[in-house]
Amino acid sequence: MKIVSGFVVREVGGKTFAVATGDLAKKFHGMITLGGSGKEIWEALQNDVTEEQIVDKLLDVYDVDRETAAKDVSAFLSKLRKAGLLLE
Amino acid sequence: MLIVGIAGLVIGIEHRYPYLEKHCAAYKTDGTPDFSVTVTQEMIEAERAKAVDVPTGADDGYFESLSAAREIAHRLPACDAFLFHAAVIEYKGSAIAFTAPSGTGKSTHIKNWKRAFGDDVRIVNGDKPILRFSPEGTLYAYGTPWAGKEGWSRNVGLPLKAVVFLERGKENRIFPLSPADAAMPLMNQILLESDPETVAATLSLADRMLGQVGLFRLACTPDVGSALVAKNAIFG
Repeated sequence: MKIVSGFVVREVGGKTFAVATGDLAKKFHGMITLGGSGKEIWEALQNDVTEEQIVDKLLDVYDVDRETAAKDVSAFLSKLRKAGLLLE
Repeated sequence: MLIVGIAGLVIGIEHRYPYLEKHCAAYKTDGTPDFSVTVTQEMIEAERAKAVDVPTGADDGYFESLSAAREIAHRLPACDAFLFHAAVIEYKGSAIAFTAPSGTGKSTHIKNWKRAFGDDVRIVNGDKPILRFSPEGTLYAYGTPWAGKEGWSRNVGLPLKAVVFLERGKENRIFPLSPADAAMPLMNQILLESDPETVAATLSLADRMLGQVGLFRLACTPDVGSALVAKNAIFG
């Protein structure tokens, strides 16, 4: 899976935002705040990855058990999926 | 082509209806435009479809004017500037911007500043000012022809001292905000629907802005006391 193209990611006031641009902005209004593991998950989704590979990436960065990381990834992905932002 | 001077920029506008020319009368200038925009009938229709809170008698000319503002807004970030949904006043040589979703009471609040401080307060723009960084890095707030229902607009630019995020309250209370807390409410009042390059430029301008102006959240009543509370927090 992969994130749809068209997002611009920037730090504003110390927070990270992903904002839809161009044609994507016509379908998806609004922006996404990327906090904590959200940044790493987002970054991983720039390339075609599996859910398991994203979890592996989080385990490299954070000192958490696999179950917690998997829960985080699954929650984040389901939000993106609901908004129609994942290419699978 | 109509040539206007706004926010220190010379802007050309290709348009059809006489409304725009009248609307921009105080901003007319001549010279070679820094950039030009063209408003098409298609843009006018799109603007009409998007419009909320339309004044009676709004015709193609009115929507053409809104389209022109939108087209100009897309070009501003490349000039270190952006359109901000806010009411801006001048108080003793500084600009203060009050921002909130439509209907919160921006106009009421700035009327209270006039009531409280009289001639020390002058309105710069009631609805859509432009913020622009000077080459030295100071952020200025400029009046524009797009000034909301009341049409409060002056063709001036003043250094922006503070941004106040307004909300309705049972009593008047003001709190300083961190850039992190102000980021989301700020972005909700800036036009972000554009191409990637323009959005990226807008976000980096917003980030610079948060680092250098005072940031406050004001819970306010419709009374004159709201202006006193705000002024004391911003100016001491």
